[in-house]
Amino acid sequence: MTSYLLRRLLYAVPLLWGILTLVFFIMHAAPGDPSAMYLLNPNVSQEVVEQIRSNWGLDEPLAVQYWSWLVNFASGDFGLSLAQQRPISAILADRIPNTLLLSGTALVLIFLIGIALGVIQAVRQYSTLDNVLTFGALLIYSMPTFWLGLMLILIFAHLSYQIDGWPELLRFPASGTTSIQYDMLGFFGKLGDRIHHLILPAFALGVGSAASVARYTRSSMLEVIRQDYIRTARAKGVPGHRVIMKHALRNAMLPIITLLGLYLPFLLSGSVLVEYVFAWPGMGDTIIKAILQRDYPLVMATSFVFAVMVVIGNLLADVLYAVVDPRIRYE
Amino acid sequence: MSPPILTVEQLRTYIHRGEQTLRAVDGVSLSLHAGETLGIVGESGCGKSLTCLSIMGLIEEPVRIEPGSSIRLHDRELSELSLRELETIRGNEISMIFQEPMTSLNPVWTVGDQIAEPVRIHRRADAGEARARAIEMLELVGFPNPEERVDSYPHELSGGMQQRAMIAMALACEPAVLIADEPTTALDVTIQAEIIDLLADLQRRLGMAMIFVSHDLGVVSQIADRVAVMYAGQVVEEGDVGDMFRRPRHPYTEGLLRCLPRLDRKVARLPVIPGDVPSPRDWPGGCRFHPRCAYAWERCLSAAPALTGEEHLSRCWLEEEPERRVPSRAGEPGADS
Amino acid sequence: MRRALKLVALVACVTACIDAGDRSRENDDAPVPEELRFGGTAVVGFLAEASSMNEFASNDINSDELQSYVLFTTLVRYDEDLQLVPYLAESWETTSDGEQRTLTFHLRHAVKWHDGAPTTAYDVAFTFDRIKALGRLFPRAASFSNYDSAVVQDSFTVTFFLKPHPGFLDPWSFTSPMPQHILGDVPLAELQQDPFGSVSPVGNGPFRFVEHRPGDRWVFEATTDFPEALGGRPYVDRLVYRIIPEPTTMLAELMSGELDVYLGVAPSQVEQVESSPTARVLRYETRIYAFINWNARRPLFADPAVRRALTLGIDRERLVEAVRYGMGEVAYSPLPPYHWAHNSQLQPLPYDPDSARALLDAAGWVDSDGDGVRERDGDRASFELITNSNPVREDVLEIVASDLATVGVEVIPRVLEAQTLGATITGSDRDFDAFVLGWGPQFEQNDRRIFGCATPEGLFHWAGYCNPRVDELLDRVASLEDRAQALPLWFEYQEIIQRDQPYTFLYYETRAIGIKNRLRAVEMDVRGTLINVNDWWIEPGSRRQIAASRSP
Ligand SMILES: Nc1ncnc2c1ncn2[C@@H]1O[C@H](COP(=O)(O)OP(=O)(O)O)[C@@H](O)[C@H]1O
Ligand SMILES: [Mg+2]
Repeated sequence: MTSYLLRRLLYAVPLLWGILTLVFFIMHAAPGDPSAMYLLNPNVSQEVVEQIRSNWGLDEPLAVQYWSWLVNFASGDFGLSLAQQRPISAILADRIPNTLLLSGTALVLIFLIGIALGVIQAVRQYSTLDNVLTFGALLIYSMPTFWLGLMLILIFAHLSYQIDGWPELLRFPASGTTSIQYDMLGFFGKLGDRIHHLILPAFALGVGSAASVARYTRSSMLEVIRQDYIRTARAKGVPGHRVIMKHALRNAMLPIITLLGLYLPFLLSGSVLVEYVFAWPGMGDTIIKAILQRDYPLVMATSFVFAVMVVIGNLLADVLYAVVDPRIRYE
Repeated sequence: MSPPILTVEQLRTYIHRGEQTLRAVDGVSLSLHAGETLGIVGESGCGKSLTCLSIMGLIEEPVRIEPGSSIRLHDRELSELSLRELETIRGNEISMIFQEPMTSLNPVWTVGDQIAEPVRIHRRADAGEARARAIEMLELVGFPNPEERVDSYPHELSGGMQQRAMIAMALACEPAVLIADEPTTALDVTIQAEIIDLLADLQRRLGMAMIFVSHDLGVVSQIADRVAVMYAGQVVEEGDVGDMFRRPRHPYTEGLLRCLPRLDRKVARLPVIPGDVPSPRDWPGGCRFHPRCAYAWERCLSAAPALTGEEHLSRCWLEEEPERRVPSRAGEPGADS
Repeated sequence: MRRALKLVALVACVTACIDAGDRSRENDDAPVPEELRFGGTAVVGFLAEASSMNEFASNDINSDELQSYVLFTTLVRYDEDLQLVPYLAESWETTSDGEQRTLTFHLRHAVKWHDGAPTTAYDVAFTFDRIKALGRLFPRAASFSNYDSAVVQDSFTVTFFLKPHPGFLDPWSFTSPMPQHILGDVPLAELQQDPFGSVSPVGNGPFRFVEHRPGDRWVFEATTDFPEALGGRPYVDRLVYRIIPEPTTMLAELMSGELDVYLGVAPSQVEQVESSPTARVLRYETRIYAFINWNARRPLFADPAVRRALTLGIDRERLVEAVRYGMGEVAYSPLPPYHWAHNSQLQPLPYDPDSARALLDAAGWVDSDGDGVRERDGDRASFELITNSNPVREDVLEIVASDLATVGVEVIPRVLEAQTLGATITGSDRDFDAFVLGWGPQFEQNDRRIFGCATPEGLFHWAGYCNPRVDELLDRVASLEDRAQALPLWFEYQEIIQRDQPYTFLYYETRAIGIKNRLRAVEMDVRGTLINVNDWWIEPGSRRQIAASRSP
């Protein structure tokens, strides 16, 4: 297994290289360059723009720029963000934990909520509850993330404060990772504050995928509970809930685990929008700005991080698959 | 004779499909005595499995046991028990094994786990005790190195071993009754014989009663004391296995016997009963076997016979008019047409 | 100390009773004695990050304002009449000797860096030397192009040598001296990337740096011993600058009380804030104007008469109403109304489609084939009008297109991403017809960059406009220090621009700020949004329960 994983990681290297090369040339093919952030600034004169261009090596042939990027990158040097004038490693260190926290929470929510609902639906197939959940899932699934985020804010962070008697528990902050008074709170206060801030964005990010996980779980579960071994379990006198939780669920999870790897890129691209809406200082917000400002080194580094996260996510899915299904063995 | 352990009376298990009602099991009565093996034979689709599942209470909508049916284990009426109560009986007092060991074992748990589970549930054993019991059971069903095999996953076992594991699981709590629904059908012929020997051996050693279901009268004859022949959701003949082989009463049994390969008669091709098993959607009127029966006459078309007889019962008008046991159609009864 | 509430001339009071700039309000304030005004945390929401507190590196307006008004001190400041007044510099004097001039600043003695070191003339000279050494790597290098060198006379006196030019003090209104004792040893090549800018800035202003979480917030704390002469200790204990890019989110945070100030309320949100019982709207004039640039290199726009016709054909009053919900004034001059040389005798060209049609006819643009669009010599009066993606600007395109359609000119609106737009309109081939953009000039305006004849063209010569008289006027005002002499030249310049219409000026932008009622005394004007942040105070009863409030 370990050697398999190592091999997979090794295979990922040319893949990452290919992706980044593609990103490099696409970015450079887009109109404008990093100096363009000064172009429409009345306070910056032409000479400054030209000087900056040559300082950043933007007047060099593309092949030269590519080569010097590749050499630096391969030696682990992400370089300097042109727009922020900060080392990219420092920027990533600021942002990655926030994105991991948000995406990770969303991922957990997706699978917890999605699987729970899917199981309930499968067990109560064709009941009113099943139909309501199916409809709800479809509705939520078809909502654009951005719009959903705004709606959540309008209802739970805006309306909720206007309406007297709205339950305090259902009032949420609209933005950021912590409140203003965060530093003054005790340990549990801080933890609570962070969770409070995490709920809406994680929900906005995860609920659409949770709806689809619920659908997959439902059909996978329905498939599984028709299997002979479920009948065997019941013939042994295993109580109904235990049949579902022990015998059916683990089998029904097999196709769902594959989704984990599929959802990760989806989640990361979704986090771009969600982070914007909820002013969540993560990678998404950084990558958008980097692209808009043509901050080439930062675009390359953030693309790299996203690609690595996707690769790792897929590996994780593979590992988990092997953990859940003893028939899978990686050589 | 001591009172039967298991008594099934007028079991009717219907399938409700919208407006349609399929009478898949239609008035089956059986009884099973301690230490006895009852064989149930019949072609595919006769309702054998549904009968077994009904006894176990393992049927689900849209299949229902109709009112008036009775399934008694000792003195308890199983059809009146709640699901909770049923669960305490299943795998404990009455167990069942199935045709496909491959799909009947849960692929993601070890066989040890699966054998230990009923012990943990019914005996409230802790993990260690249950595991010890699993190993013991594996040994009992003939696993070569049970301490190791207890941690195997089903896919790591051969079909025969899988079925042995199933048997170990079913017998782990020493049930009074074992229902084996075509336990050998999916296996190779040599393995079939091993499993049948094993079941016969275990039944003797554990003193349990067994219902052994097969579509193959030959297989049943190797293990059963008594045989019930099912056709179209009903028992059409029931009796001692030797009696039945020597003097089959029902034309259907006759047909089944004729289809058996026999050592003393070499034929290029085994005969089969002409026609197909009818569908429960429309059982034929009168005697349900009449469309395929070589003896059938008008009475058979218009009226359904009852199961009659003392020790050896048959559901056929020939019981009343034995003189008609002459083929009315061209050719031998059961000839390949 | 009695703080006088400064009144801002051009603040449009919407709801007189709740507007901070209104006199009646000032009286309401009186019952709260000054000593009770200290304390609390003011949270300000900005739509964009302030990139850096490092004067050498930053170039965005948000960083600028935080540097000038919060963390650092500038030598001089503009007062509400846009007159330069002393600030970190107590006084200054100049001497002239033909082409050479000296400018000597006398710094206040009591201003300390937040680590305790005094702010001295060495810091000023250091900052200047580094700016010169950075050369064109300093984003606003042009501001100091007429400055030659600096000499420290004593710890609190510094003399600059420069070429005389109008507005020579202006650079010192937005350039904050940086601490030499911290940055002095940083190699020039690393100065702009130094962690000082984002991680560990040390200032000398009314607020000290507490924390920066990139993309999330800057936190500042009142400097308790900030000199009275510079305004003294701010009333609020803490100032938090939150970054929230989405307007809807911002509005929710203001309404729920997470924010005290929402900078840049979208025009469409103003009514909602106004109708809130706990918040008010403050409107203020900005330096920004919106315009359409006609590319005179294209046949359709080469003729000033045609450009005039196009301006006459756009109903700009209606446009301001529709896209800015009235937050703006119809514009007509490159010198906005706050500018001392703004020619208010000029009137904006009216909306007059009939005259527009007549002018177009006279210029030879007639619709001879009856398709509703004029043509001349085989050219159709049809063009692409581009802008960057921004909801207000996109609306502008639609309105301009529908107005000009009625005078027989076809407009094809197209929205580009900002950098693409920038590259298109500044590219050397100038491959565009016309665009809509906003422009925020500095107080010392250099319009040669825009309307001067030039070979080669500069970035901003997007209009392709050239008029020798305009060049002459702009050259003269660039060297005339006497405003009385320069004024008629500026007036003439504005008249010519009005006649030639290289741009169609659309509107001078008024901005709206949402403020929680508990936050008092907030003023903003053309100078910016944090001009009196020292004077902001929070009603004692409605402060956040955060830090133990310290009395001064
Ligand atoms: N769950 C079910 N739903 C619908 N029809 C069923 C179901 N189970 C069995 N049947 C039908 O009932 C009849 C009897 O089936 P079964 O008892 O499995 O026959 P056997 O075991 O004798 O081959 C068959 O026609 C079969 O198609
Ligand atoms: Mg069967």
